[in-house]
Amino acid sequence: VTEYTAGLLVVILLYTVLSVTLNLLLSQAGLFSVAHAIFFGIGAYAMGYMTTARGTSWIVGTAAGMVVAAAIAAVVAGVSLRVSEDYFVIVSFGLQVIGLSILLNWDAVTGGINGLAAIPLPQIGSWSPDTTVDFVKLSAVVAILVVGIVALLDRSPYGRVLRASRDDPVATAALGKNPVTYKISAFIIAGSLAALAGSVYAAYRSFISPDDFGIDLSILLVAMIAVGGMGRISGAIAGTVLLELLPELLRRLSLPATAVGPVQQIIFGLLLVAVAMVRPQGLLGGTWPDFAATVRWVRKRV
Amino acid sequence: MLELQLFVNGLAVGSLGAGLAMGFTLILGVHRFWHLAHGAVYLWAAYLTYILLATLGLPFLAVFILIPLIAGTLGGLLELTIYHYLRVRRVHPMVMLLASMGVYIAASNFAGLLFGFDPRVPVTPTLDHAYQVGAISFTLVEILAVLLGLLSFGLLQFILGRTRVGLEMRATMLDEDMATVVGAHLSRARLLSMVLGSALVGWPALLQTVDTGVQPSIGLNAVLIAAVAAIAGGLGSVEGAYLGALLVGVAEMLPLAVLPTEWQSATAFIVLIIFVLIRPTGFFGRTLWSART
Repeated sequence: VTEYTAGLLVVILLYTVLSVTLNLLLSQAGLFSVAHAIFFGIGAYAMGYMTTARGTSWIVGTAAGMVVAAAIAAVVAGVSLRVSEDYFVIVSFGLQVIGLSILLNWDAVTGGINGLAAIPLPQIGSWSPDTTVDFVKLSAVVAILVVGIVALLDRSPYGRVLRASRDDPVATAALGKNPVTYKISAFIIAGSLAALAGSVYAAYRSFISPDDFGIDLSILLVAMIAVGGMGRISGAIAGTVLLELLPELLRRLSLPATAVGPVQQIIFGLLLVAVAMVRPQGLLGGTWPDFAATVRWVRKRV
Repeated sequence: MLELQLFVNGLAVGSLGAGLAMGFTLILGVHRFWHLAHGAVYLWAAYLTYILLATLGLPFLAVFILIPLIAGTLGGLLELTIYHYLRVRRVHPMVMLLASMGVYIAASNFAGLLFGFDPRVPVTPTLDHAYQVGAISFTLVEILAVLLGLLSFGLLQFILGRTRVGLEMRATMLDEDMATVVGAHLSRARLLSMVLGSALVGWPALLQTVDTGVQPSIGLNAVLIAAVAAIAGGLGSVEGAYLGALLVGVAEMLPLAVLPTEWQSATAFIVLIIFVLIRPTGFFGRTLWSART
C-alpha cells in the first residue's frame, strides 16, 4: 500500500463516519442538516487545542471534543426543534456559517486563519500510531465502531421511535414518546460521533485550518448520502466511496490545476440533480422515502 | 453620527436584499420547498450583468431593463426543466431541496470555472457618485437600491393584489386544493411565481455587480440572507420579507460601529436566532406550513 493510497483510505474511512451519522439525521430523524462539517471541526479543534495548548492526552482531547459537540448540538436542536422544525435547514446553515466564523476569528483558541499546527500523535494505551498505515487502522476501528453503533440504533426500539417521529409526530406523541426529544437526541449522537472522526482527522493531519470544515464539506456529505441512497447505511458508505474516488478519476483527465476543483463540484451538483430526477431514493436506497409516508404526504397536499 | 451613517447604509444593503427575499418568499409560499437555486439565479444574473456591461458594452439603461427579464427566464427554465418534472413524480420536499442544492453547486462552480473565483467589477464611473446630506454620505447606487427596492415591492403588491395571475398565486399559497376548486391554474401559478420571484433578483444583482463586483460565493450568502429575511417576515408574506430584509441589512451594518468586520457574516443569523426564539411566526404572525397541518 502506497503512502498516497493509505492517506486516501484514512479520509474515506473518516468521511464514512460523517456520512453514516449524517444519514441517521437525514433519513431516520428527517432532519436536513448542513452543519455536519462544523461538528467534525469541533472535534478536530477541541483535540488540537487540548493537546497543544493544555498538554492533555489524545483521549482527553477527544472526549472534550465530543462533549462540546454534544452540548452545542443539544442547545441548537433544543432551541430550534422545540419551536418549529420548518426552519431547521436554515438554522443548520446558520450554525455552519457562525461556526466557521468562530474558527476563523477566535485566534486565541483556534489560531484563526492559520489554524493549529504541530498537533501531537495520539497515545492510546501503549500504542502510538505514527505511520499512515497505523492511521488507516485507527480510522478503520473508529469507522467500524460508529457504523456498528448506528446500525444497532437503527434496529433498536430507539430507531423505530425515531422513524415514527419523522413520519408522524402526532401519533408518536399519542403513544407516549416525545418526538422532539428523540430528534434532539439523534442530533446530539450524530454531532458527537462526527467530533470523534474530527479528532482522528486532526491527529492524522497534525495541521488543521478552517478550510477543512467549510460548507463545501457539509454539502458534499449530503450529496454522498443522496447519491448512495437515503435510509441505508450501505447507501451512505457507497456514496462516500464513490464521491471520494471521483476526484481520483478526474486526476487522470489531466485538467488544468485550477479547473479540477470546480469541475469536480459541477459533477457533484449535476449528480445530485440527476439522482433526484431519475432515482430519488439513491443508488442503493429503496426504503426511503417509504411508500406509506409518501402516500400520506401526497394525500395531505393533493 | 457613525451609527446614523451605518443605519442608512444598512437600509441600502437591506433594500438590495429585499428583492431577493420577496422573490424567495413568493416561491417558497407557492412551491413549499427551500429554493436554494435562487442563489444560482442571482449569481448568474450578476455575471450576465457583468457580460452585458463590460464585455458587450451595452448602456446601463438597457441592462437595467434586460436583466430582470433574463433572471425571470432563468427561473422559468428551472421550473420547466427540473421542478415541474419532480413535482409530477411527487417526490418528497427533501428531494426537491437536494435538486435545488445540486443546481446551486453546479451553477456556481460553472461560473467559477468560466470567470475565476476572484471578484469581477465592470467599470461604471457614473454610479460611484457620492452625495452628502449633513453628516451622512451616500452613493448613487445606494439611492437606486432603496428606490428599486420600493418599486419592486410596489410592483409585486400590484401583481399579487390586482391581477388574476396574482390572485391565483395567492390562492395557491393559502390552499392548493381550494385554489383548484375555484378555478386557479396550479402549474401556471407555479411557473409564474418562479418567473416573477426570479425576475425580482435582477435589479439587486445589477446593483451589487456595479457596486462591489461579482464572484461565485455571493449566491450562497444572498440566498441565506433571503431565507433569514423570509423567516423574520413570516413565510410567504411579501410585506414581511421586505421589512425582514431591511432589518437584516441594518442588523448587518449597525454592529460595525463596535465590532470588527470579520464577524459581519454571523450577524444575519443572530437575527434568525432571535426570531426563532421569540417570534417564530415572523412580524405578521403567520407560517404557511403550520397553518395547513
